[in-house]
Amino acid sequence: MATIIFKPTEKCNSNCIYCDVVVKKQPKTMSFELLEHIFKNIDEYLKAKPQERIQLVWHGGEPLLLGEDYFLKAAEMQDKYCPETKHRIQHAIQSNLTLLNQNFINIFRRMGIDQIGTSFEPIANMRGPGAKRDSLAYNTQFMKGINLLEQNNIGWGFIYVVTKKALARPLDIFFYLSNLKLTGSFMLNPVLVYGEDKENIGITSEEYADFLGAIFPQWWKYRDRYPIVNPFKMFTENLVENKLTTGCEDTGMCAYGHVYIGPSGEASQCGRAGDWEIISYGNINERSLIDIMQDEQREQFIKRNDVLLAGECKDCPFWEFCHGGCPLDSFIQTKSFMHRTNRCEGKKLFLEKYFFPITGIRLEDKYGKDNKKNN
Amino acid sequence: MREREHILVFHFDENLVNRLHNKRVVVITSDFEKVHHICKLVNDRHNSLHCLVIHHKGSLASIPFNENWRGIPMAIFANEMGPFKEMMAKLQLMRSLSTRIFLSSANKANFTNLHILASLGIDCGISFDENNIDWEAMNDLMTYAVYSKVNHASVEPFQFVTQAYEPSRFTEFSSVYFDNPQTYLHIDKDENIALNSKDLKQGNFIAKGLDVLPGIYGNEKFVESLHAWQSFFLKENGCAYCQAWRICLGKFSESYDKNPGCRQFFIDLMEGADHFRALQHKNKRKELWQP
Repeated sequence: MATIIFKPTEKCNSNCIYCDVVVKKQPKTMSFELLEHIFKNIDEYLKAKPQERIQLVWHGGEPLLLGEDYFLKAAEMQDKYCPETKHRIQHAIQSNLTLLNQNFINIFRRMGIDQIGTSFEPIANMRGPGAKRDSLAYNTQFMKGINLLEQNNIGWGFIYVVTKKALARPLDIFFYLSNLKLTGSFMLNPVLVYGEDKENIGITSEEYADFLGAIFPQWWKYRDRYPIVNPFKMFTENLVENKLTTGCEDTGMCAYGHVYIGPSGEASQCGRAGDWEIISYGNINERSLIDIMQDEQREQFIKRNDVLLAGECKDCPFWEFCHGGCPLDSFIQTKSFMHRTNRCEGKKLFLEKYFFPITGIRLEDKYGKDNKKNN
Repeated sequence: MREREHILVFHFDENLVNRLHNKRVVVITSDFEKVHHICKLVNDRHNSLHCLVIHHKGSLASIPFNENWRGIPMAIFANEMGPFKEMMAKLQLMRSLSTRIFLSSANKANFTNLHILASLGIDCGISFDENNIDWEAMNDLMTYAVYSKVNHASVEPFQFVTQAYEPSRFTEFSSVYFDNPQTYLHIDKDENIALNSKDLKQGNFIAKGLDVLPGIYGNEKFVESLHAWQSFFLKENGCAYCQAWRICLGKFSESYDKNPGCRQFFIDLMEGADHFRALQHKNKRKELWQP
């Protein structure tokens, strides 16, 4: 399934400390003409690929700032321009939930959305509107949002972004998050700082590993008690159940599966690539979605696997867990996609220092005595 | 949420009982002489007595247990156990009644007393006095109640928590004390309705009149109460950061600064609940078809 990270607006009602989008002084919003053009392109793409499906992930900014009518219009456009292919379009949405109301939910239902992704932060003044980041106002609205979702039986999961401010109290934060979300899942992701760390929130790979390591013994011992917490569950599944369940940044397979489309129709590899303007696939006003999905620049992400396996990642027993990490991280660190990232070290450290000793699981159990993947 | 009709909790008032019809009720009294009168009155109006709650300021030993109380669901809250010899004289009768005895946490000796009662086969429980709780003694009692392999009667709220505990949802043990607004609503003789006994005492009413009860699930304050737990998640510190939050729901937040032992106690109780749950899974017998 192809994934379109679809960012029809860069506007946001929150001023999250770690967000790249809010720094844009003149956030743009996609016109209805362009929205219509995109649905026509999706229809064309799906007709050309009868076995293919598309996941359209509504992103922002805060997509609910588009208003109910915008989503209603999108649903109508899909009906109008994708009559034969609409059953192969799956919508998903990332929202901060603070603007959610019953009308949105009714429209989302019509669009087939039964899960909403969000993010959350218990530490004060990290997220929220205004210069002071009024987290109380933000979180109060967020709670109303999750109440509405639960009343309507719509699932939700969230990402927690680990920053320097969280490092002193990993277990407190874990307990808080797992109390808030008794079922389902959440993910503990390291903060990504692009450029200067003005807010002093960045963490090293080692700090991320130690943050996870402080939580992992509790999660592992009582994992029947807790929701799915990643990356713990992903590592466990990968090692014990032989499932390949890594996040998009670690799959090594993002080359032809993802595309980002921004508010002016600009196309890139994914949301991060678009936000950071690292790679451009042109504009959907000028190129078809089929062309964008086949852009020759994508080949470098395939080639990267070969380069890493022959070089920096040669014989690394952890290859399947990270595939050298996200190529964009590599680019930020080295101005080249062809290196592994320092996030790999964090994962390796977590696995060696915490995961293997605590679980008793060994790499040998998966790969045999030489600890190497049979490529 | 399934909209079940609430069980009404009130201090005995003859006029109020006479206005009720086809209701499930918990009636509170401190007068042992009125036990039969209350039961008859409740039944005459085609109501169902969920429980008769008796608040007794004296000792358990001084309660005039009566053979005629057999079959009446009762919860007796007493201050202390009293002379053991006197209580033992009533033991056989007490065992035969549908009664749970609650003793107050304010009296430290009651932790031992509850241990004794449970070992004698009397279902019992602790009634919390938030300002007077010895959490270590509470933990000892819980450990006995949850882990002991010697036969003994149930001790609340440990029995409720271990049996109701389910990791995918909160465990609200205030039901043991008829204080969970999802099951119970408190009402006074003037038909003021409150979410719990404390609110009723303080005059924090959500509605007035028996006629509003059928629509109570649409009552704004009632709906708010369902999400009241979220207020803990809007604070920078406190109960939401405790790993045992899901079984205590911040009930002791006001006394935490002075007496923070609740945290370890509920962590240990949750461990006990996990243990009980694991045992249930382990001991689950195969299910055969039934003729």
